[in-house]
Amino acid sequence: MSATEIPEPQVWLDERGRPCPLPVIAMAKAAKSAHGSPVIAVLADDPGARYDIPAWCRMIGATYLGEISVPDDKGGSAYVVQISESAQTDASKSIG
Amino acid sequence: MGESVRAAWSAAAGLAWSDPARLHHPGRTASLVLDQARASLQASLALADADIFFTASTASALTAIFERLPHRVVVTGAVETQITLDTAALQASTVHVLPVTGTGAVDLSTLDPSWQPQLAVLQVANAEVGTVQPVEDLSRQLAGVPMVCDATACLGRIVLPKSWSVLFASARDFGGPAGVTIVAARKSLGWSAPSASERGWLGGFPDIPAVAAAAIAAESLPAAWQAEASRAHQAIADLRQRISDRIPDVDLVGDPEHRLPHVLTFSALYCPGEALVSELDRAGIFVASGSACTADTRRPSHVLAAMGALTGGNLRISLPLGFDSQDVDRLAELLVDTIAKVRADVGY
Repeated sequence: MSATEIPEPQVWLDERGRPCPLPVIAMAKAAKSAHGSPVIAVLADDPGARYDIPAWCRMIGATYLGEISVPDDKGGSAYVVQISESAQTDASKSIG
Repeated sequence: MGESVRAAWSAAAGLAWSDPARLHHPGRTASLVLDQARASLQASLALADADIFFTASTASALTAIFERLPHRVVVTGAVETQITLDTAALQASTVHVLPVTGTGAVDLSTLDPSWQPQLAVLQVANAEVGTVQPVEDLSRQLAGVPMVCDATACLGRIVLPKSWSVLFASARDFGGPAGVTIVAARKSLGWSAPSASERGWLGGFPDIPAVAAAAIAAESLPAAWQAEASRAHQAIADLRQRISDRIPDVDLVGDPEHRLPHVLTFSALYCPGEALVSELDRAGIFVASGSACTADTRRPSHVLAAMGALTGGNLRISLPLGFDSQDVDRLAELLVDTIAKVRADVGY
């Protein structure tokens, strides 16, 4: 999917400067508290996030939409995820 | 390393200290010790149809192998060791890197006959995640192309494929010194030149006492190693099942069946790999990790990344030869507790 097809995120999480697994944990907590099927973007600069956000989506049943450009000049990357109802249930179960 | 291996190392250090190319008595003694060790390793590792050489590292083995084989166009896999990928990139004009499937096996459907490779380099199994590679299939598809096989972590653990031209592995894999890399080249390549001054070695003469110790380590491999391998295969299968049953949000990595018998790799969501390694270390269990925070490069494992596996919270567990199954039970319990504790500590 090219960046132009990725919908505008409704939620932004800024996890830059925080090492893995903190960006993934932030994503899981946002998914748990979300209503509906929101599109969430996480900003991260840990080198593991590029692989671990898509892996988290696969494991939890969310959809990884891809990377978009970072909206400011503070560096890092922006990873966009579409949360589904089932992913919310899974995330809630595991977060407990 | 076992006591007999260290004793052999020490004894050979006193006996075979000289340059084996010299014609004086100490030189001839060193040469004799080297020849005996080579013959012993050839027999123990069932490498009768190959000439055996020794180098100090995988890097020097690869450089020596590339020097002796045409390598303008090379085919290799995405989950080879970094040193293999680096050597290929440095030495070849064109490197075709085959991607891997989710289990970490190279995807042969991506092979293109128009590449016309001169050399293929493929591991027998991935040492990090255990997945066995389709060496025979690749060899069939590239008939006539010399195949270099990285047998790291495989000797004495799985039956080797037959279609390699050159095979290399570290003696550390079977309880020998880490500074001995064994290079086996098919006799048909004609690498051995008994009359030359570099008789039987690649890139300078080897560390003979360490090679003698490696020979003793190979001799000490249990005759029934295949029975030991199936015991390990079952123990890892049980451990996989217990982790899957008792620890939520875990990515079990690698092929569950076609794998090294003694290796288990998994990643746990919401866990820093560094903390897992430290906690287990405190409990006397020494494990590896492919997570970025455990690497001196601060980059996650390229193997996990190529597979699309979770790279955070990663652990690689390897059962030693002759492992105690009670230790595996203890490890299973410890993993449940440790992962729960580490998740709590990180605020999950």
